[in-house]
Amino acid sequence: MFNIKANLSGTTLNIALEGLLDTQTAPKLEEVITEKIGAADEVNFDLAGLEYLTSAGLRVLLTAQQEMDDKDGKMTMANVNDEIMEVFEMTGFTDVLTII
Amino acid sequence: MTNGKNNNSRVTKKTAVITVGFDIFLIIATIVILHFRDVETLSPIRAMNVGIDLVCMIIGFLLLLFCYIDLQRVGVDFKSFRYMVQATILALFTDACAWVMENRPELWLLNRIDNTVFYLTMPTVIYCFWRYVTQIIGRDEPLVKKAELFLKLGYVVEMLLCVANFFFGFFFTIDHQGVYHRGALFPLFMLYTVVLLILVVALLVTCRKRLTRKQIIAIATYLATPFPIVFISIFIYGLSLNYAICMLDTLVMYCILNIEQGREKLAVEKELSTASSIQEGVLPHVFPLFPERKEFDLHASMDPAKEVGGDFYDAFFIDDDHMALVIADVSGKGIPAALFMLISRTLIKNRAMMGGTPAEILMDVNPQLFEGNQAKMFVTVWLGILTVSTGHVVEVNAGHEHPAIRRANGEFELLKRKHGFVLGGRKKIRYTDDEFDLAPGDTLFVYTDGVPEATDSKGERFGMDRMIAALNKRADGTPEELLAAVRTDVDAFVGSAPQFDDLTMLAVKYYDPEIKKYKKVLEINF
Repeated sequence: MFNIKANLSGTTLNIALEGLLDTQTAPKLEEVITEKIGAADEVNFDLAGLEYLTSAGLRVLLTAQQEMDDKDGKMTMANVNDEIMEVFEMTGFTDVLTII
Repeated sequence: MTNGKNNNSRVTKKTAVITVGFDIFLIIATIVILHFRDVETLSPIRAMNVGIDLVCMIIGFLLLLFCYIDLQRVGVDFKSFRYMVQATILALFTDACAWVMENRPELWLLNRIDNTVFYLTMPTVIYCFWRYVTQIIGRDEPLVKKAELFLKLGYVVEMLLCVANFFFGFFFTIDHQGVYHRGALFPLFMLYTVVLLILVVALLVTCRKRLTRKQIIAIATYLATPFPIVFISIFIYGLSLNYAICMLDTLVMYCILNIEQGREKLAVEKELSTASSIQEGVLPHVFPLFPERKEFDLHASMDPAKEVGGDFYDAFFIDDDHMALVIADVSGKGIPAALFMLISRTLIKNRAMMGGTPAEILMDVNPQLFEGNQAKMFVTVWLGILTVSTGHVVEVNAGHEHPAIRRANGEFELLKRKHGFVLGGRKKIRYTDDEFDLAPGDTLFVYTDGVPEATDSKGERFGMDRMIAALNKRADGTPEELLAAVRTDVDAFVGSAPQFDDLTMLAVKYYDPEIKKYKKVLEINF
């Protein structure tokens, strides 16, 4: 189970994730991001519905973060639940992502 | 490197024997029935029809046999193709029987049963054909995904209608004189097949660029050739060669598609198995690794989900007293992960041999890994350096799972320290060293997320609690026993669900450093 709701309004890209972000579902997110990130200078992730993510998912998030860093954009992670937070902490992503 | 392949082949061997045996039975049954029915009394056109059915059944039987041989030798599985052949054989059999039983009042019930089975085979053959075509084209195609649910549902409805027809006779009926009549709703029965064939044509058109010319010809032959036959059948009653032609088309498809794919797969597999053995050979794998060292006992294992994996462990001596321990997990799986794994492993080991603390080592390796990292991959690493004479460990954690540690006579617990960022993901990363001590009798266990993230068929994860519990079952065991205990519990938990992630573990049990001295003294004395 994995759902992506991506919505580009102006130059702000809002992405809500739902379900499991793992090896099987990460390519879908990557596809959406590569398609839409070019036009965005702000990306806001809503992780309220995200149940779990693995290194494959982290890789996609990192790619997006780097892209935004390269063009001095802004990228945030909202509604990070405890389980996801634990993964971010374990992998040191807390130092790289902007978690609000 | 166990992938449960043996288990699979045992299952297919069993189904192979059953299906092939069943087909031999059908062929013999047709011959026996013909013998008793006295072929001479059949009209020539029917006798010819039955004869062709029989020949095509034998072709189907041989095809199926080849499929199983391919499966055994090459590992190419076209399940839907096998089902398609099987259903076509059944269709041919029931077709032959129907002609033999025609106009025999005493056999009307048997005839009706026979025709019902005949009707059931048609949507089955055509649905299997769809599954086969989509397997070749790829099921990720949006059109395939949309159509799949619809066709699956349609298939179930069609099957139920065919069964209902046995009692109500809206598609066809066999009266008490043994005469076959088409029902009013017969066109409805054909609707499913027509819709499905149209979808296959649409699929061929949209995906034509991805298919080779051979593939298109093979599929198009199957689609097109039944039409002239149907056309001829309109004028000659007693001729029903649809399935015969289907079987011949199936043979064509087999020759063009299966053999081609089998050959490609065989080449790829050969390369993969070489890659797999290279990878296996790179990791230290003959245990005990350091038979001369009595101060500790060490064991490690790595089971990739695919032929090659992105996990690795390592254990090597930097100098006589310092042993480096590494466990790492590259994001992703398969060949890309394996390539990244080989680079990471080499860079870490070479840099570690030059001295320095774990944090310094990773800070030097990081920019090298990051440089030219086109695929934006990264690797989580736990690196510890054990001073064998004292049990002191300096460690660094680059986004990796927490190690588990067991104090002598205690239970395993996670050792939670601050984590740095994953290795190779960013240009500049700062790492800081941490330290702890191993006392005699203590055991250190490190692993990759394949252990806690092993998933059963319901989607539930093995989790940390189960992992710690598994370790504590054999808390006092040797590293080898500990790894086996965790593996056993993971396997039992996962059951028949496929392994999705690489599964890697390393354990070190630390003994009294004095042992070495004692041993030396003993050796001198004797």
